[in-house]
Amino acid sequence: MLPPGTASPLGVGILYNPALAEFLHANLKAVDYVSVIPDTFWTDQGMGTRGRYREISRYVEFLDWLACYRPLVVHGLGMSIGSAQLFDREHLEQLSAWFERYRFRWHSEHLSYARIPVEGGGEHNAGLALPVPYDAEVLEMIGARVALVREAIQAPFLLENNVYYAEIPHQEMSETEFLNRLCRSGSCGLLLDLHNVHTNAVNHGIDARAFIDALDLAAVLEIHIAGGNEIGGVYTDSHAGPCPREVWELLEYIAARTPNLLGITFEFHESYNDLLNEDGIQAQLGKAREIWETRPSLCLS
Amino acid sequence: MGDASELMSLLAFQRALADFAASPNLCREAIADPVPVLDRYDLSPRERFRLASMVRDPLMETNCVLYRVNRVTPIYVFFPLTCHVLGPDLRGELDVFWSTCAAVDLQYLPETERFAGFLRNRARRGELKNSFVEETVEYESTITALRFAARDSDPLLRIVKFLHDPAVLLEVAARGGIIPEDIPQGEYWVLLDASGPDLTVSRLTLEAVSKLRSCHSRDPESAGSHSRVTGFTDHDVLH
Repeated sequence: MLPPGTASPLGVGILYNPALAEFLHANLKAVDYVSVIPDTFWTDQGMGTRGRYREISRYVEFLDWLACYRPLVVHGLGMSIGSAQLFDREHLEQLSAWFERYRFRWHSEHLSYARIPVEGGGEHNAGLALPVPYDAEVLEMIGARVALVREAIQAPFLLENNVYYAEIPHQEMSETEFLNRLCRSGSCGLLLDLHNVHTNAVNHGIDARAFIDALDLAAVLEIHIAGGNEIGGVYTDSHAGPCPREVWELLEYIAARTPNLLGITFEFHESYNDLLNEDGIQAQLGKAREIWETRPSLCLS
Repeated sequence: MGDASELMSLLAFQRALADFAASPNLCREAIADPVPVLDRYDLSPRERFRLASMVRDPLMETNCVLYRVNRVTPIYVFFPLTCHVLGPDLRGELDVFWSTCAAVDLQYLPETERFAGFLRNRARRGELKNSFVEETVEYESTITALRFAARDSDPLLRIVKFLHDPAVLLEVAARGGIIPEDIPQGEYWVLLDASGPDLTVSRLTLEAVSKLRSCHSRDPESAGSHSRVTGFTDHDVLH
C-alpha cells in the first residue's frame, strides 16, 4: 500500500485530448481534475539528442491555463516500462521536470512495452502497447524501475492493467497475482482500467468480477472508464465514445470497495468527440460522479 | 534485475512479437512454417513455444489491425484532404509505406513528415499517378508544421504553391466530393497565417508573389513549393 497522505482524493476527471479544449473552456466545473498525456505536448528527437524534447507551444499554452484552474494528473505513454534492455532515464528526467512545473498529483504508465532497442543503437516502436509476460523476471525488472521512478518523482506512481488480444501462454503468474505482487512493496499503486478488464472479459471469457475480487483493492488509486467497439468481430479498447453498461456496473461494484481511490477518469478518443458532443461528455461525467459520491469515504468527509 | 540471458530472451521475444503485430505476412509465414521464422530471433525454448502459439491465436490478427489503426490515425488526423484525394489508392499507398518504413516512433509530427516525404518521392518517381496529391500534401504538411512550430521562433506565415485552383480543390476535398479532373490549372499561391489564435488561409495575388520574389532573400520556387514569408499586408491577399 502507498504511504498515506501522498495525495488526496480529487473526484471525477477526464483524460485530455485536443478536441476537449473547447469543452473545458466552457465546462471546467464538470471535472475535478484533468489527466494529460505529457508525450502529446512535445516532440521527442530521440535518446541522446541535444534539446531532445521540443514542446508544442500551442498545446502547452493551453495546459498552462488549465493548470491554473484544475489539478493535473499525468498518464504517460512514453516510458515503456516493460521494455527489456531499455529504460530511458532522460524520459524520466523530463517527467521529473514536468512534475516540478505542474505539480501533478499522481502519474501513471501502462504495464506494457512499445519501445524496442535495436542492434547498433536507436530503437524501434512496436506501434501499439504490447503486454509483458507475467513472469518473475519481468516482475523483478519492472519493480526495480518503479523504485527509480519513485526516487525521481515525489508523487504517487501507478501502473495500469493491460488489455491484451493474443494471450501469452504459460505465464508464471496470473495477471492479478502479478499486479498484487507489484503493488505489494508499496512503491506503486494500481490504475485499474475497467474497460480493459471488460475487453479482456469479452475476448477471453474471464469473469470480470472475479478478476476484481482477486485484486488487492487497497492498491487501486485511480480508475479509468471508457468505451470500445468491435473491429473484425473482436471487441477492442478503442475509447469509442460512451462507456458500455458493463463498465458502469463494474464501477458500481468496485467504487465503494476501494479505500484509497483518488479519482475516476473518463477517457475517449478525440475522433469520437462529435459522437459524444458536449451533452454526452457531461452525461458520462455526471454518471461517474453519482457513483463517486456513493463512496463511504466521501460520506465521512 | 533478472538474469542477463533471461532478459536477452525477453528482448528477442518482444522484438518478435512486435514484428508479428506489424506484419500479417510474417504471421502467415510463421503459421505455415514456424521454425525458420522463429530461428531469426535468439529465443529460449519457452519463448519459442509462446510465440508459435500466439501467432496461431486468431486474436493476433487484432494486434495487426491495431498496429495499422495506430499508424493511420496521425495520417488521417493531419492529412485528411490528402487521404481523400488519394481515394481508392490510399490503401495501396499505406501498404507500401508501412512495408518500407517501419515505425521508428509513433509521434504525430515525425510520422506525418515521413508519410509526406514518402508520397512526394512516389509522385516524383512517377510511381503515384495523381495530379492533385503533391500540392495537397504540401498544403497539409505546411499546416502541420505551423501547428507544431514554436511561437517565438519563426514568423508563423507560410505560402504554398498550387497548380490547380485551391479554392475548388480544397473545397471539394473538404466536403468529401469526387475531385473533378477539370479544375482550372495555373499558378496559385495561398498564404497560411498561424500568428493569431486560429490558422487563417488566404489566396495571394500574383502581384504579392512577385513582390515576394523581388524582396525576399529566397525565391519561393527555388525554395520548393512552400516558403516562410514575412512582410505581407492585407492588400496582398484575396480573402
